[in-house]
Amino acid sequence: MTRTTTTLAALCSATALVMLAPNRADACGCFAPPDPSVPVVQAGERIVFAHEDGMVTAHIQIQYQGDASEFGWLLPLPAVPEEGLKLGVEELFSQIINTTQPKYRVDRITPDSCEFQFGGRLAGSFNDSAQSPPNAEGGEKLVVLQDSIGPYDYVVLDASTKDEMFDWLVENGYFIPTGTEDVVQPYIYSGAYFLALKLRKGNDVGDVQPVVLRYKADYAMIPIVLTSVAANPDMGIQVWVLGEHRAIPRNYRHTILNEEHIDWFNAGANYNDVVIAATNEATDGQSFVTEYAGSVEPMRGLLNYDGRFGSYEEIKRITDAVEFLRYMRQRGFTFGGALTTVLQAYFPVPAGSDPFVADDFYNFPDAYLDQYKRDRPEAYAEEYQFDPVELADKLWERIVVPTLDAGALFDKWPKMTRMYTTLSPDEMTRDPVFSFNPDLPDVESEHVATFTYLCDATQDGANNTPGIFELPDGRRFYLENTGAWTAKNRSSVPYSRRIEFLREEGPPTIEVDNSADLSSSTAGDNGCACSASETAGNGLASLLALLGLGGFALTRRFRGPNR
Amino acid sequence: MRHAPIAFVLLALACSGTEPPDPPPPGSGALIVGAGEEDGSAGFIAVDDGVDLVLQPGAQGGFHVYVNLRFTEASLDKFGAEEKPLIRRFARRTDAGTLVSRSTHTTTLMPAPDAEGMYDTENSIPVFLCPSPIGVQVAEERLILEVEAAADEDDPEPIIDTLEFVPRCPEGDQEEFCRRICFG
Repeated sequence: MTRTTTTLAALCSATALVMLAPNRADACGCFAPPDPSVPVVQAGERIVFAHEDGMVTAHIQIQYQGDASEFGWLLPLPAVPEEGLKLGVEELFSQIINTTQPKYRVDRITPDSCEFQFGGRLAGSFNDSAQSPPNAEGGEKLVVLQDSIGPYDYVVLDASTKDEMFDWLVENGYFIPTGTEDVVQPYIYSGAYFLALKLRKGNDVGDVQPVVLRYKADYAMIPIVLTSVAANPDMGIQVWVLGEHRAIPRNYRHTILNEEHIDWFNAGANYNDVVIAATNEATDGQSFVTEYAGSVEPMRGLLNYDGRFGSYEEIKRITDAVEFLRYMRQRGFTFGGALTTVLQAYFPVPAGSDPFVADDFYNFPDAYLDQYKRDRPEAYAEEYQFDPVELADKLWERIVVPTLDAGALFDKWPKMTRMYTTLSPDEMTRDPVFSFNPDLPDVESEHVATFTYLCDATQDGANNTPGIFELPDGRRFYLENTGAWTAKNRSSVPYSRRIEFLREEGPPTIEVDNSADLSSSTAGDNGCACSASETAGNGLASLLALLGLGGFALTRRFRGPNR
Repeated sequence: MRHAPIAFVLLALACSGTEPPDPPPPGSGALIVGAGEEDGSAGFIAVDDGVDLVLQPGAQGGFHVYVNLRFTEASLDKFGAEEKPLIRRFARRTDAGTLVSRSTHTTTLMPAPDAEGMYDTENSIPVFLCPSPIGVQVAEERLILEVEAAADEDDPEPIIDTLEFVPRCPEGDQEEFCRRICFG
């Protein structure tokens, strides 16, 4: 990531590959494999919004790679944030990403006539596991608020005049990326504010953690125009909105994907490419896909379950490092990530540790230190003296309070909506605003297609036997084998099933309906040059096969003339 | 906007019986929607339906108009001791009824400095309009703002008033940007 791309925020562009199904270190020391039905997406910007009583709460993930001295972050605000800036936690994002992640799965149905089976079941579901995708000295009027929290120094500036604000930022060591001045003007007016953030001395890039802002506003908005100076092509923007109802993009279009383009047999590995192509079919490329809309129940208690983190009063009295760390593990602290940067200051890796231990130490510091304590008790006693009160304070500031606050979001609101789009800099001409529509239905994150083998004609194992592939929307395709789905060229087929406007009430207003194009595009698929009626025939054969009645002759009959 | 004295008469009549009073009908004067100061500070400005209101920049690059609410003292009983009504706002285009803005929030009231026995919202209320809903022009279109003031979420009989207005983009530096994001 270049210096320029590091700085702007809501506005953070990402070059880092981010696994949406993060590995989880269990107490046993093993890692759970990623969910194979989860596609990988690189999202440059992730924000969780909650909206209540005219107040917007925004949890913003800051993705940054670069030199700590060049870290800077600017965010226009409609009002001075109440309670200043607060820290957020990565765990909110890892959990909500995982919980609401779109999943694409093929259930394979094997009739009696098939000699191969999956897992000993005659007909059932098979979760396809193949190829998981990869004040300073500012004037009183200019500086409205200045403080520090966690790893950050921050300031809220009056944004009435651009030059004065920029001068102050430069003089006080806040980095401003090239090009910002060209796009910042819409955010400069009397009564406007900017939040600027930088790393405090002594902190490095590993200390970067999400931030939380709460401010008065009717709607949640992402100042994406400002991001355009620092964005990569097709930058992912992922947003969750919590509230009473399903959320909508108020001033962006809304796209329903044509799932025909999904690489179903590889767990939707091309999902991000499909979203890019589909949203680019909308005017100005400005359209969101709703990936999930429904209850917050799957998130409830994940972050703030009863008893998590134990008691501040208890932990601050533990003076032995191993006991302190064990207490943390037993009470649900997640080692690694932000916790590593906190622990490094108190419990360094034992001198002389081999490289593997050094790399892995902060994932299991309790175990490694326990070993060290037993091997070298005197050195341990000397080297691992620490102030438990100070460390407990830091843990509560950086980890415990932010995590419990994030968890409380899901106790407060009944619904969450996950939306995703990708934008290139030239498409970042309009700040997306999010609202609610109580009339819209929920959206499931799990998408299930079926593949019913036609074993009466010919069969050659699970991957080379023909069958009928049925999409969730009911369209059916004859496939010579499962690989044929991925190999099929569909470049002329729209990636959007529908492009629509979502209003704050009522049903969607459809702008583009590609349904007719999708139907005709199924003709000639994979050696089965089916007409519309023959496609229906496929469905009949599929049904018969399912019932065990699909005799060879019938199967040949619908395939024969077209081969 | 309606005349407040009428409201006093209606309320006095309504409260004379033993049954709970019916809510004042829209336009009764128990609630009056007016304009707010352009800088968002306190101050109720009485206006007539059809008034032009200048879109003010705000909300991270968006635009809004300021309104203010005026309540009769008698109407405050409904809101309990804290007198913080729950406000629901709906702004629609008058031609097709398209919803262009909605919000729900509580607000604090204070005695009106220029009208005895009346209470105003503590600060002007920004009604967010732009960026407008996709495909819907908001600026230079006649809108109707309906405001409901309720005791709480379950209050079946909120006080209601409306104001029709035409939002206009400001002249000067912000005009071009305003026109870009307020015309759908």
